[in-house]
Amino acid sequence: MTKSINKKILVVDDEPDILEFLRAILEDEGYTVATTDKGEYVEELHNGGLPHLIILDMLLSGKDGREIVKHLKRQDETRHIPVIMFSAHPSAEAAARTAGADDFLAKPFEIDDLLVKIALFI
Amino acid sequence: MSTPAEESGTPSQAVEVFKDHEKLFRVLIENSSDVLALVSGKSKFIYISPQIQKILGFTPQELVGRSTNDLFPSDYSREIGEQFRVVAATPGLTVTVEHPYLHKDGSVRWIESTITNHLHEPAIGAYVANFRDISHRKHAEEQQQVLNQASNILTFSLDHQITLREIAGLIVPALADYCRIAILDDKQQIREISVSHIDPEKISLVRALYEQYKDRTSSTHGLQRLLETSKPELISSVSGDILETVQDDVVMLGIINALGLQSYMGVPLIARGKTIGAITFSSVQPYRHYTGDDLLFAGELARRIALVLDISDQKELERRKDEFISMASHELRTPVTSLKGFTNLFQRRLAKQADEQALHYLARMDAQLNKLTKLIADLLDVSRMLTGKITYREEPFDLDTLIRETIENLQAATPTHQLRLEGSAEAQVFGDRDRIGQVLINLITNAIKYSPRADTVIVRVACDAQNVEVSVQDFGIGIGKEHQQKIFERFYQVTDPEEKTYPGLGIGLYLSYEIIRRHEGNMWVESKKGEGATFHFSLPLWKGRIYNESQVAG
Repeated sequence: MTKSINKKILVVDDEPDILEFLRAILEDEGYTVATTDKGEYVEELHNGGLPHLIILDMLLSGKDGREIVKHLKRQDETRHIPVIMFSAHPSAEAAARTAGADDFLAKPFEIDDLLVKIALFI
Repeated sequence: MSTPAEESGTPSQAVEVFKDHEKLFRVLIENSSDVLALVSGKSKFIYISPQIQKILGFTPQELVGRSTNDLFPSDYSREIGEQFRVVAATPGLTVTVEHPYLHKDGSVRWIESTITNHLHEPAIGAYVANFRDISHRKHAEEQQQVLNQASNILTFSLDHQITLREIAGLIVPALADYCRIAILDDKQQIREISVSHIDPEKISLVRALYEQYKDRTSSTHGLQRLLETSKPELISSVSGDILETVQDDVVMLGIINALGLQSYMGVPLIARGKTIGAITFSSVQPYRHYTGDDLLFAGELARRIALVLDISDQKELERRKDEFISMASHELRTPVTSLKGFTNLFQRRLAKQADEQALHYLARMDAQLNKLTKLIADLLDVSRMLTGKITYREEPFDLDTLIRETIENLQAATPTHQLRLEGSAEAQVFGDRDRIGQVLINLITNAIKYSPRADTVIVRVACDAQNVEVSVQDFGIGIGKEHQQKIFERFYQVTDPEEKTYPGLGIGLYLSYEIIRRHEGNMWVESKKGEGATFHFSLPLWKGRIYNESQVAG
């Protein structure tokens, strides 16, 4: 658990329940967790407050997750941050990867699967 | 060898038969529309009336002395022989038999024969036979049968590609040796072509030819022409004059020659005044020449196909339905994600407190959530299947690896049953690996689920030169005969006499069946109530070249 300390994960989803259980589980695992239901927040990330990894929903109200990941991968300061996209459209994987996501998870998912993926990146 | 008296089929012998009132008999016999014949005990023609030439092309002189067996097509002889044996064994017996005879030109004519055994009568000493040409009636019957079968295929049409392939498979060989069905898309481009040829080697040959000259193909005849003019066309005999009109057209000549084309007809598929496609029929048999009647029949067949394919109106509805199901499944998955997430969170926290009972309940909850997730996925798949929107990857893959991996994964999650693998394919199949994997998972999980008191499930793999067959055997409750065909239908559920239902069987098996069919394979079940069930599926082996009968154009 100690190795996770000081690793910061940002979770972006417009479903508050999903943010809540992910925060609880990830914090139990020792990660520092920030959550938001606003896609715009991600695009305003700048040095100083950058997370080590982003978990990003594909279909946010008012904002397309693919646009966000494209934006992140275009910026020099955020390009290196791994992005795991998840979606309740299981067929969205190809679109997510095309947009630049580093990995994909179909909703609903096993928490263990998510934790393994996170551990691979940070 | 036979005795001369019995076998002599010379005209003088025949004259003997008519020695009284010879003229009268001769006039009667020779002017009858039926053919009259005398056949010896060794099945040789002693006499046959001249009318035979109208039916079979042979003159009486050409047939007298020859065996009646010479006239049977090779594939009918045994069955017909059985019927004639009864007459041969019973003096005085008269039977009427419908059977095919070969015309001099090699074509098959249907004959109704009335035969009487007069071998025992010294004055005759032969079979007396009366032949009538019933080819016309037979042809009409065959056409009706094709229409009925086509209607069956069309009634259960779900996936247009499968439907077209099955229709093409019906037209060949019943009506043609080679058949193409083309369907246009919204932009009037050929979207789909289904091809069937009596000689599969020729499919690739013809396809290569068309491919090579795709943009230069003359529109004097054929699919392009049909699609442009929306008018049926008939070339009863692809003879000199036709070849002359296309002689400058290397492509057309090449195709005609490669196919050995003898006769051709084509009809457009028209739905509510709009041409949505076309079908062509080609014959390479020297004796099968299409007639105006055949063209009318082809038109009727086309009308029925067009009716089913007419989806322009339904398309919009289908698109909206698909959109709805897709949205609904997204909406269902979101709360399930939260439920599962909190369940997992709960499990992780309770694991630290080692509360075994609570963990047990949570594991049950989690398993049910997984079932719900699979159900949502299956519903989406069924919806996609109905609208033909499932896309299949098309690539060769190793079946043994897939089966081994699937069994290993399922075994890891199955404490109650041992999954045993027997045999191997040692071959590749062509298609979508994940979808075939889905079929295996469905069959094996069903086998486990419906054999609660057994501890073994056996997966067998065997190959012949063409196909690989995979079977999954359980030792469970089994399936009664009355349900065995229906369980592959959409949403079918087995209800036993005690009204206990086995839910969930419907969707998974239906999906599996459709997936296997889409891979040009078969699926069936063998079972007895109370004695377990064995589900089989077969798939064609990948031979390293593309041989499938359907292609997507453009």
